[in-house]
Amino acid sequence: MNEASFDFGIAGTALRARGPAAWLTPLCSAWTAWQPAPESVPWDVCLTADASLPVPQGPLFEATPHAQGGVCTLVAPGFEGEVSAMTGAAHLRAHPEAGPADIGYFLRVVLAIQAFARGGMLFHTAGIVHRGQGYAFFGVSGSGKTTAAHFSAPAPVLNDDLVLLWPSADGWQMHATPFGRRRGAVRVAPLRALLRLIKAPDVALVPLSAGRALGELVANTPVLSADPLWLPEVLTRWEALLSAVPVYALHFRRDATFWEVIDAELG
Amino acid sequence: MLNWDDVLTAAPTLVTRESDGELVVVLPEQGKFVVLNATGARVLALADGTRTLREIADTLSAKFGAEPVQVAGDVLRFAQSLVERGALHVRKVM
Repeated sequence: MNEASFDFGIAGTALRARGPAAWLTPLCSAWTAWQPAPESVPWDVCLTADASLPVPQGPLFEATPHAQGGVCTLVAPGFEGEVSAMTGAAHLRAHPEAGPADIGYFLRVVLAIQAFARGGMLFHTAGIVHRGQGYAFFGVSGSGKTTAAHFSAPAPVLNDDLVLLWPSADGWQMHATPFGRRRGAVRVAPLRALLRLIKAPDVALVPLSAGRALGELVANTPVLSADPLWLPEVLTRWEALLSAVPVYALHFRRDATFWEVIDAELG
Repeated sequence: MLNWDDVLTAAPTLVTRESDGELVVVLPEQGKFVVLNATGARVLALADGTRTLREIADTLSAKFGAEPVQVAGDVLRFAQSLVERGALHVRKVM
């Protein structure tokens, strides 16, 4: 099986993936625009095809990451993956029938861990840019992230499911990722507000208690919220972010009127 | 279903953080969280593996000078909800 490698990165993250070309070439092609900054030291991600593993029973996406003490494992029929935040290395053995989407998911998990180790956070949210400012619409599955992105057209959507939050000298920035649907060419915007989506007949911005906000945000921090040892630092990082960025519950209905309410309060 | 003689213990992997008068309780295995008010936080703190549900209710009743029957009902419902969410573990006392 031909081998390949490619570098991938967003903001201060950087991964160097090596493995079978059949897995990496499609990802390299799809993610070619996501090059790490030259000064970012990459983590090595070693991908190995292993026919002795059972045939995959489903996509790796359905496997639950288990994290303990800074080491995250991702195990499912046909897959054995491990990411160490301490050594900055990741390895995935997968059955040859695994596909690029499985590998892409593994790289996403590695990126989540590296981003956190370097001061950022991957965040389950729809990141929408409005008047040059980034708004993060978050909530449980089905709360309306994709709907909010749809009704915000033609505003740029950094991603309708996962964005990368990254600190900068000017405050927290929201970066686009290739892990979901996007709209427009904008890749980064200053984070203006966090908005917890709640479907309701009347549109309103409602204060969210600090505790509730913290719990909601941690629950939407992929991978890291699974490790009791990482969690205190995850909470601390969200507290730091919440001291700089306002959070609200956004009661919204299936139209674009929520932007009027947001502009009135935050514009 | 909880009994008054059950001994309650907070799940060992719980991670908590006090935030502006509320206690955020994160359940890492489930990726879920619970937000407790001061009374709820007190129940969780008392669930240290040495007290029965009855003793927890009695302690709170004495602390707040509230009607024991009323407190007992509230504590039972609250403890049951935390057990269902995996935040509290139950040891049955025979």
